[in-house]
Amino acid sequence: MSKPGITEYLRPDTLEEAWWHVEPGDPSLRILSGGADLTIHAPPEVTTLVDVGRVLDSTIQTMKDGSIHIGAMATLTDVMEHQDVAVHGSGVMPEMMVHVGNPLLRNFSTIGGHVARAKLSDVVPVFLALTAEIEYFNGADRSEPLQDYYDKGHHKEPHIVTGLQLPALPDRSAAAFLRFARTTFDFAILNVACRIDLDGDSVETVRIVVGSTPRLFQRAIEAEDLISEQGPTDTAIDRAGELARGEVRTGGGWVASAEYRSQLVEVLTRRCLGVVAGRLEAT
Amino acid sequence: MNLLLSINGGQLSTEVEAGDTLLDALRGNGYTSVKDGCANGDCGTCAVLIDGRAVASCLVFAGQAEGHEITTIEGVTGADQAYHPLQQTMLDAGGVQCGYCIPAMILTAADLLERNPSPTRDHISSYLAGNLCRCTGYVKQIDAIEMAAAILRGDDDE
Amino acid sequence: MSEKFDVVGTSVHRVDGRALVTGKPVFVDDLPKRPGQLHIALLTSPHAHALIKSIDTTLAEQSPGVAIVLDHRNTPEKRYTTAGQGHPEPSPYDARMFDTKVRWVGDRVAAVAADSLEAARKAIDLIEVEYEILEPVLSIDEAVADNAPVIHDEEDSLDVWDAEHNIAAHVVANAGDIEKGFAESDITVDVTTETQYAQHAPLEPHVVSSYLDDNGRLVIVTSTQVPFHVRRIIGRLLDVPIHQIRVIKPRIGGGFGVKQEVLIEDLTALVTIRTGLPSQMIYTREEEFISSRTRHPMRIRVKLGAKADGTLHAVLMEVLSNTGAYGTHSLTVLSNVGSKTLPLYNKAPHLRFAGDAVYTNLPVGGAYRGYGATQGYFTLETAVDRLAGKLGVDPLEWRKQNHIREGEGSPIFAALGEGREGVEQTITSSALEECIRQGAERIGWTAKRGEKRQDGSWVHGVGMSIHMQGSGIPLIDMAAANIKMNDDGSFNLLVGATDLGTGSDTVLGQIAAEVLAVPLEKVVVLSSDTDVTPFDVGAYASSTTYVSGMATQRAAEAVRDQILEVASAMLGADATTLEIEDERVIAPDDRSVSLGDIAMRSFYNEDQHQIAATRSCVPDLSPPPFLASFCEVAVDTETGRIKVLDYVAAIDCGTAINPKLAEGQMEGAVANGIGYALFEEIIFDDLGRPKTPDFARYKIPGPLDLPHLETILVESYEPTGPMGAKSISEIGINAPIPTIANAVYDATGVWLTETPFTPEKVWKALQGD
Repeated sequence: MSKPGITEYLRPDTLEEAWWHVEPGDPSLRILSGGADLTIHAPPEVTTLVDVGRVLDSTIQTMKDGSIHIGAMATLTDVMEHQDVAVHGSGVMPEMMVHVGNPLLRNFSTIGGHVARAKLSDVVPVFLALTAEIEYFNGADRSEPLQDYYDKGHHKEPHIVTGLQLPALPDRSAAAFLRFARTTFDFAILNVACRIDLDGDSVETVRIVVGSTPRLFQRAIEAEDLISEQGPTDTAIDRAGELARGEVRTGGGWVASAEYRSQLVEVLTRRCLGVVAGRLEAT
Repeated sequence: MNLLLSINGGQLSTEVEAGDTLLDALRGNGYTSVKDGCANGDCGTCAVLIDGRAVASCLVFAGQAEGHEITTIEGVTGADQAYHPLQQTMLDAGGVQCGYCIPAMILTAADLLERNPSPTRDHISSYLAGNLCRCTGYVKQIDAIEMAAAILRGDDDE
Repeated sequence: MSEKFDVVGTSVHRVDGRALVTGKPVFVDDLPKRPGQLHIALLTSPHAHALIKSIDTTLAEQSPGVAIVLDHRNTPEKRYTTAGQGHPEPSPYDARMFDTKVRWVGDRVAAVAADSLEAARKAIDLIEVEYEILEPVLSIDEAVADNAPVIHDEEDSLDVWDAEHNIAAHVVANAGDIEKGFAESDITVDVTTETQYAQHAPLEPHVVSSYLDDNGRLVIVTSTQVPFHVRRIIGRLLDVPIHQIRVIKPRIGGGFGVKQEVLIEDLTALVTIRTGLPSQMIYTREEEFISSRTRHPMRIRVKLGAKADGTLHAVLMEVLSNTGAYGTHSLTVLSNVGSKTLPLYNKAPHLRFAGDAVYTNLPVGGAYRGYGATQGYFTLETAVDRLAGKLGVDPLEWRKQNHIREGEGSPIFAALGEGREGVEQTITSSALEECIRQGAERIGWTAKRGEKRQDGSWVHGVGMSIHMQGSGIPLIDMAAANIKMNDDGSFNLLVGATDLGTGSDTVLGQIAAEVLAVPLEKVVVLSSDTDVTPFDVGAYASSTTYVSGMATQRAAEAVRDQILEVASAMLGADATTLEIEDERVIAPDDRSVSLGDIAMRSFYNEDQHQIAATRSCVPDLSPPPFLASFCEVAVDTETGRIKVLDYVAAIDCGTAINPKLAEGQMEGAVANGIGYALFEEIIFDDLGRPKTPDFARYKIPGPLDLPHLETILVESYEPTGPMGAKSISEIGINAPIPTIANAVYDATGVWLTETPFTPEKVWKALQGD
C-alpha cells in the first residue's frame, strides 16, 4: 500500500536546488536516494520526499594515487561488483557486502543512503576499518574522515552525502570482515572489521572496528595498540580478542544478551584478526 | 502525479500518489504477477527487474522508477505464451508448489543468469537470499535454475 | 510398484503450472475487482487482557469513504470457533465475532469498511476505545497458577473443559498399568521439553473477497483449506442459509494449517450482506503474525521404562499445551501429540497419555502442519536416544528392535483419536526398516556416529529419528469426487479437495487419468467451488492423497464401468472382456472404439445419457507414512552455532503418485522444521506484545540457511490407498528437532530441551548453564 502521509514527491535537478529543500532541517522532509529504509521506517511526520537520484553521481573511479572514489548513488551491488573495489583491502568489500540485506535490496540501496542512515550496519565498520573519507554537501562541499562524521554528529545535521573515498592502501595491507546473525538474511548480532598495514616487519596501521553491539560501531583501541606493538602473532591475536571483549561495551536485547555479545566480540575479533594475519602472510 | 513508466518494452502513462511504491503502481495497473507478500522488503515476492537487476518493488517509490526499464514476468514470457527456459525448468524440476513466489524468483534468476551464465549451486542460493519460499525448501528451484542455465548456455542435453 | 502404472508414478507437470509460472491472476487479490468494492481494515487490541468499557465509532463512521464500522455492538453475539473442522467441531465455542473482552494483543476490537484501504485505515485511527486493563496470563505456568486470572469467564461459551482454571481441553488415555510398567522396568529415562510460538508464514497472507451475485446470493472467494467448512460456519454465524452461500477457492499461496481456520470470511461476508457491496480483506503481514494462528507451544514430559534387553515396557507422556486466547484445535492438537507418536513404539504394554490445553493471553494456537506430533516427537525421539544411551546400545539399533511393523497394532490407536476415542487399526504397509537402512547408509551412520570429528572449534555429530503420522482422520474425514465425460473423450474431475499449493489437483488428476487410461491433459481438474464441486472436508490431517484420492479412484472406476458398458454395446462384446488402453476400448479380437466415439454416442445417438459418477470415501483406517530422518551437524563450541551440514529424509509414502511433488512435500516440510528447530520464534515483551511481527525479525529459512536436503522415496504399497498411496504432507516437519538435537548430543554430549536451538542457548548449554 501507498506509504501513508506522503503528500509531496520532489525531484530537484541540481544539488543546490536539493539543498534548498534540505537546509532548513524540516523533520517532515526526507532525502530519498535508494529508498529501502525510508519506505518502511519513515515516521508519520514525514510528508515530503526529495528524490536526489538526478543530482548525485553513481560512478566508481580509481584515482591516480590508488584511492577509490564512490559516488553516493552507487548501489551496494555496484560497490560489491566493481573490479577495483573487489580487490581493495584484500577483498573485504565483497566479503562484507554479500551479507548486507539480500540482492533485491543491494541492487537498489545506495551507498550514500546507507552511511547516512547510520543504523545497524555491516558496511560502516568496514569503511571505518579502511579509514574512509566521506564527502557531503551542506551549502558547500565538505570532506572528512567517516569516523569524525559520526563521532562529531555531522550525520545528524542537514546535509546531502555525495560520495565516499577509500584511501590507497600500502602493498602489505590486509583486511577482513566477520559477522554473526541468526540467518543469512538478517541483521547482525555482532560484526567485526579488521585491517592491518605492515611496513617491513613493523605494524603501521591497525583498525579493529566492532559493529552491531548494538551500537553502530566501536573501535577496540587497546586491542589495536597491542597488535601495533606486538604484530599479528597468534599470542597477540588471542590477547587482542580478550582485550576487545573487555573494552567494547555490549548491550542486550531480545536477539542476544550483552553477555553473549561480549563472547562474540572476543571470538569474532580473534578470528577476524586471524584471517587478516593469514592474508598478510600471502602478501 | 503523472508518471511515464517503461514496462516490458512498452510505455505506461499512469497517475500515482506521492507515496505510492512501484509495487502499488504495478499492481494498480494490472501487473498482478508482482505479489505483495509483506510490504516490508523482506519476502521478495514483489521483485521486478529495473534495468535488468532484480529489485524489491515495495521498497522503490514509483517516482524513482521513471526513466528506467521495468520488467515483470509478463516481459519474460515469450510470444504466444512460449516459456522462457526458466519457466520450463521450474515445472520440469518440480520447483513450483503454491507458485506465489515463482514470478519473482524467475526474474531474480534471470538477472543472475544474465550476469553469471554458469553459477554454482552456492551462487544461486546466494542470489536467491531475498526470495523467500515457504513451500519447497528451494532444492528443486535451484535444480531448475541450473537446468535453465545449461539451456541458455546452449549446452548439449547430456 | 509404479512400473505397472502409466500416469501414476510419473513427475508430470502440475496441472496449474502454466498459470503459475506465467504469473496469471489466479490468487484472490489478483482477480478482477468488482465495481464499488470496499476494503476492510481491522482495529486490534493493544492489551493482552482487557474489558472494552466503551467504544466510540462516531468519527470513524463520518470519515470520508467509510461505508460501515463493525464492533461488538452491531454484530452477532453467538459463540463459535474459527477452527475449520468437521461438524460438530471438536473445539470449544469460546469466541465471538467481536467480544466485549479482548484476550490477546491482536484480538479484534472493530473493523472498518471503506472505499479504499487508506480511508479504512484512517477511520480505524478515529475509533476511541476505553479499556479496563486486566492482569494478563502470559505463560503456561501463570495459566495454571492458583488464583490465576480467568480468561474465559463468560457464561455462554460451550465445551470448555474447565474455564475457571483456564483449561480449554483435557485428554487422558491409558493402556495397561503405567505404575506397574515402570516398577517392572530395569531402566527409565525422564525428559521434559519446551517448544516455542511459531507462525506458518504462508507467503500469501489470508485474503478474502465477497460479493452478492446477480440473484443476491453471497459469494465468498477465499484463500482457504476448507471451503465447505467456511460455508457451514459462516452460514451458522451470520444466519445465512447454506443455499444462499457459495464459497470459491482459487489458487492458494500456501497454508500449512493456518488457512484451516475461518478467520476473516465473516468480516467480508457481513460487510457485503449489510452494504450490498463487494468487499475485500487482506491481513497485513503484521496481522498475519499477530492476529491469525500459531503453533501451540508445549511443555511435554516423556518417561520411558525398558527391560534390560532393551524392550520398551512403559511409556508416560504428559502434555501442557498453550492454546493462547481461544481454544481452536486445542483438544485435537493435544490428542495428536500422543496419538501420532505413541503407536510408533508398540512393544510397550503399559502406556499413559495425559494432557491439558490451557488458555493464556497470547496468540491463538491453531492447526499447523504436524498438528501436535511435531512437539511430541521432540520429546519422544530425544528420550529414545537417552534410553538407548543408558542401555549402551546404538539408538538406531534400539529403534529397529522396538518400532511398529506391518501387521501390528497399538492400543493407542483405539484409545486416542482426534478429540475422542480412536479407531483400532493394524499397519497395512510399512517400509520403515528399509527407510532406516537407506538413510543410515546415505548419511554414513556407522562411520560417523560417535566419531566427534573436530575441526578447530567445530565438532561434528550425526543424529537420527523415526516418525509416523497418518493419512486422514479415520471414520471422520469424508471426501467426494465427481467425474464426467466430454465429447472428445476427455473428463472433468470435480473435487472439493483443496489444492493449496501442494499439487493435489495434479495428484488426483493422475489417479483419475490412470484408471481411465488417458493422459493427464485429458482430465480437467477443478477444485473447489461449493456450487460445483462435491463435498470434501478440505486439505488437512494429511488427508487429500489418501482420502480424496480414494474417492477419485472410485469415481473414475465407476465412470470406466459406464464407458465399458457403452463400448460393450458398440462392439458387441461382453463388458468384462474389454480393456481401456491409450484412450480406446479394446475387445479381445482387437476391434476397438475411441473414448471420443463412446462419448459422442452417449450424447447424441443411442441410449443417450451423461457418463458421469460421483463417489465418496470415508476411510476406516489412517495408514501412516513412515520416515527415517538423519542429519549431520557441526557445532561451534565457541559461539554455540549449529550448522546442519547434511539432511536425509527416507520416506515411505506407499506409491508416490507424482515423485517430484512428493519430494517437494518432504523438502518443504523439512525446511520449515529446520527453521522451527533453529530460529523461528515469536518473542513477546512483558506485556504480551509480539516483538517479531515481520520477516525482518521473524526469520524463516532462505536458501543459504538450509543444508543439502535429500529425500529418498522408499516405496511400499498401501493396499487400502489409491494406487497404493499414503499421504505425506505433514510428517517431514516433525523430524528436524529431534534429529538435530540427537546429532548435537552426538557431537557435544549436551542435551537440548528447548527450541529454538539458538546459538546463545546452545552456547549456554555448553557452558553447563
